[in-house]
Amino acid sequence: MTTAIGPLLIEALPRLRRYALSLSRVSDVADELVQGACERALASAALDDEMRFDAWMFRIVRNLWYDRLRRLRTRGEELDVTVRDDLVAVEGEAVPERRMLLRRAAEAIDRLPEEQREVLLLVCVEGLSYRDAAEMLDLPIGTVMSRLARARKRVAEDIGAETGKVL
Amino acid sequence: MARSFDDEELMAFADGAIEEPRFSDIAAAIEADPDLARRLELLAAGGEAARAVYGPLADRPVPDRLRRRVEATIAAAETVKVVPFRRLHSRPAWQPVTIAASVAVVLAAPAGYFFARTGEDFSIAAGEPLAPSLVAQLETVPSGAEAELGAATLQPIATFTDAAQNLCREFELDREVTTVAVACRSEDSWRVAIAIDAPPADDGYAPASSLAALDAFLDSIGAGPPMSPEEERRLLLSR
Repeated sequence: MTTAIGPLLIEALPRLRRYALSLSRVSDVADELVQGACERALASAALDDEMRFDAWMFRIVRNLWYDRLRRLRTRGEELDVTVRDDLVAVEGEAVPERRMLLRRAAEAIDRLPEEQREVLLLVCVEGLSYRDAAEMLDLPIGTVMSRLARARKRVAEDIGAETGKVL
Repeated sequence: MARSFDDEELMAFADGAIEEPRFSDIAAAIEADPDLARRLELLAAGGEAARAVYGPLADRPVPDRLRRRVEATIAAAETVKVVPFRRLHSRPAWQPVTIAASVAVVLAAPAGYFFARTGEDFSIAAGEPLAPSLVAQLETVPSGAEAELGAATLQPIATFTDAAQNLCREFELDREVTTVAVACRSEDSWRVAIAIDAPPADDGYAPASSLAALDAFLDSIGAGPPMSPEEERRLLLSR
């Protein structure tokens, strides 16, 4: 029996890191989440045939992240996010005007309720369909769509539709 | 009066998730109604903003450290899946077998060079004492777990006793190649009983078939069945 998902995991690493980073906002933590998720995936009996491979992996990353948050909270601790590694692309933008617009967009996304932010990231950044996201989050598809529509509208109202279009 | 569409439906339209004939209905309505067009624009722009902020994060190279760790995890998962099968089905415990000629060849070959490549300060060769850095790990790390040794990963596979009731451990050392070895403890010192470099298969994993010689060797020393985790813990700690 071979671990057929091995090559899939390697291929998915850049996206798994992006997703983990968008959750944790800290590189080290994101890499730990990705490593942990790969361990879980390899140890699990079988791939969930019903679910897209990336959605399945995102779900494991997400579960690990919320486990970690819960543990931190029980200990009365908080993750140190004074340095935001998830905004390296924003801060690395060479054109000052565009960098400013990206910052505003990042701030608008930060202001979203977590439940809206996460569907925004899964669908608009990670490219999951509404149905994939619903399955991954164990939510009705209608809930995913309404959260997503609210998130997108809010961000655009916050930064202006024109800015969104430029970006 | 233009028909009204809710945000969810407009969003699905913007995302190309609406099929005909509904698609044409919405397209016509947007054409005729600037407010509707404005709402559609907002929904599209919000998604584009998220993509612009977070999309480029996946273009960054994956750090070597993470990639190596994941690759080691994949290789380890392969080993763990192969070993129980090999143990349970292909090697009858306690049944004495004559040593195959091929095993004698393997035993005669020094395995030290496998380890010399890593540049780590441990060497391993059949009949030689086990390097202290490996001893420390083998006396503590349970089977199925793994320990990082510089650029190499040590994975104890199983614990068992030989015919003389010496405690033995089968383990793998992974770096560019995977070396499978058995070391046994007699009195208070560990000696390497056998070390085999498992040739990588096309997919980069060590194939189970390469371990046939090891199985024959284990039979030759009267190796017992692998211990349960509880038994292993008790014996590793009792010293």
